[in-house]
Amino acid sequence: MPKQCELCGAAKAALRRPKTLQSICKACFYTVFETEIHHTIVQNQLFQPGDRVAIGASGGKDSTVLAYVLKTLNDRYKYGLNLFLLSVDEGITGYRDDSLETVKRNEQQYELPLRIVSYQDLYGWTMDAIVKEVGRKNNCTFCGVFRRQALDRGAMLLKADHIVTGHNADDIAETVLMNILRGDVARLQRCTSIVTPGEDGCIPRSKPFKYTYEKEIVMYAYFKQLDYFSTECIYSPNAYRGYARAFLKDLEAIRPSAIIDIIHAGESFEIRQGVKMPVQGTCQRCGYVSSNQLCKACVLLEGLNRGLPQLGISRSALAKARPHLPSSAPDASKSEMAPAATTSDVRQKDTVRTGISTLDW
Amino acid sequence: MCDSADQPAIGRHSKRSNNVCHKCLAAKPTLKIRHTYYCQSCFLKAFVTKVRVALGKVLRVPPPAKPRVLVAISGGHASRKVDYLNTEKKKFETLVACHIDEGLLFPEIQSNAGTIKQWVMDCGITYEGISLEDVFKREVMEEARPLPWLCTSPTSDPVESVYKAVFAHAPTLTPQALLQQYLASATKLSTREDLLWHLKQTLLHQMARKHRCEFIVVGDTCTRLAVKAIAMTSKGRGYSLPFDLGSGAEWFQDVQFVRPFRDCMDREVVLYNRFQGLEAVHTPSSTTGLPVKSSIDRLTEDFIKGLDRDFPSTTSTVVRTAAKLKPSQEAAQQPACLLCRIV
Repeated sequence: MPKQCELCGAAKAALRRPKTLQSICKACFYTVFETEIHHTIVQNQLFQPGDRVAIGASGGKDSTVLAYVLKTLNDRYKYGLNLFLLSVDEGITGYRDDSLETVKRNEQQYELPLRIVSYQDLYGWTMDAIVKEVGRKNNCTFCGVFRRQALDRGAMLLKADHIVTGHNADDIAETVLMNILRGDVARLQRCTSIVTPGEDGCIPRSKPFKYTYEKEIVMYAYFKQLDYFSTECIYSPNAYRGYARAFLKDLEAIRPSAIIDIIHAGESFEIRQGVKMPVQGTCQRCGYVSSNQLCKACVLLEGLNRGLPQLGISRSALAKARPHLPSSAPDASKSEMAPAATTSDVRQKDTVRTGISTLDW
Repeated sequence: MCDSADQPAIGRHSKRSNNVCHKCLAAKPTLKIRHTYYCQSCFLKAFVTKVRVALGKVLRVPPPAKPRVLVAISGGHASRKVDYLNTEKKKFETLVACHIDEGLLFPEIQSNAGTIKQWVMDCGITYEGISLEDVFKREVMEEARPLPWLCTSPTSDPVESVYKAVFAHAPTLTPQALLQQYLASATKLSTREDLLWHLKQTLLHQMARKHRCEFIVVGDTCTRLAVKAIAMTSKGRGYSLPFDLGSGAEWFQDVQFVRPFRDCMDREVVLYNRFQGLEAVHTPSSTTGLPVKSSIDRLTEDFIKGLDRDFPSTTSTVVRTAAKLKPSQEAAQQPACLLCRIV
């Protein structure tokens, strides 16, 4: 006999909810899914009435569902938001051109205005051209760094007050793990925050799907028959992140709450005093937020334009180019490794001076 | 054999030749640890120095007192090297080796307690054997005298308080039956592993208090700490990571954990024992022989070890990252959990 929905008790259960393992009907699933996101938005006070909100739309499942749900919630709960779709064209033939077609269809389906900004216009380079220069190994670094800025610039063109992205709970949990594995304490502290505050002219950006499981997003898109694009990027996926992703999926199979648990753990991490943290400033060249004199995008772009694509990726390339660059711009994760030892050494010397004996081993 | 010498020199260690030991620059290297090539004798010297420095940094008390130390021994590779403490025995006021016998969990396997006792006695160190079920014995608790903050009310006696909280519902059961009932209440293997870990930590604390020891030396290697850090994060215990992987001194006040192998990988410890002809005993765990996905700890171990093979600095990076965390202020002000002794 088919199971009844555990929530309403009236309809037949149509699915097993990945987050709670409850058997529920479609209508209840839509309700809990949308209401959870509504609560996330309201409790964290993500928006103000009248805000112009740019939805980072790639055409993939997360951003398509985000656009659809935000539009639905905006109408249902009268947020009073002006929603826009904002896409970044990285210039990846056979991948981004197809996914942008999906976004263009979404523009019609959801009646949301669309703006596309391209790497070619902003930086003078497409990803295809970059991959030709740097090869397949580190191209994701370029794409990720450029995309972050491109979204901000696109949002400025739209005069947006807020950017929302489709990062889901799985993505955030994965980032927490990655930051521990890479030893990036600065990012570890801020990667779980739901909204990045808009300081120094930056537009605040938030993740309304912070507590939404990837599996549920896929289910929602499937049941609602949303039009989305589901192909992996043609350039190699990041191997290291792939390990973390596979691990997270296995963890979820053992204990479904593991994803939320990791986010919770990430939120409760507090960094010890005395640990050297990068100070956020602005890039001398483009004015974008940066921990060094030059932002990563400017360093990478400089490398590309000077025919030294490894600049900003490898240490040796950086050392060779250092005389020409105003910034040493070392990788944040690497520069943080040494100070811990130094601090403990200093503390040890202090203790010795204060008369507490050190055993002579 | 290796064509790496022909490749252009890239990276931090570009000038070092891989055909000689990186330490003495004379002998032929026999093993590679992380990015460094060692000959056997240099490796042994470097390993011992590393462990001694790690111990010496922590085992410090104001003179003329000497540290009182309890060494936790499971019989595995890391705890096999207990004899190094023996040579320095005169530097301690108390030196006790404590083994927790988990025989009740694995009745079909012969207990290793006898072998381990023999090792310890051969070294001339005081041996303290205890069974896992003893955690439920009132006399063990009496001897250990838990700290007053374990009281459920400000006026009650700590032992009475804990005893009431734990045994109120089953006053007639034997400790063995209590342990079995307690573990059976955890339906998932991951939860059972957590319970076991907490019980062992509690027992070690109690034994340390019984012998008035202020330090508990445990054989956690860098690899194991990294696994623990990721596993605890996966279980949502981010707030207690600094307590569980650090010394715990800020929290437990009277006793702190010392981990001399904190900077050594599992492989280094095993190699050291092999070169020295030291044999370890195999102690089964709840997931021995089970598939990788049987528990969170087991899965994490497989993940970290796999990652460490491809990216050799993973474990040390994870441990160093965990060391940069501090307990949250909120946690320190809340009443403590009777089970894990943390909020």
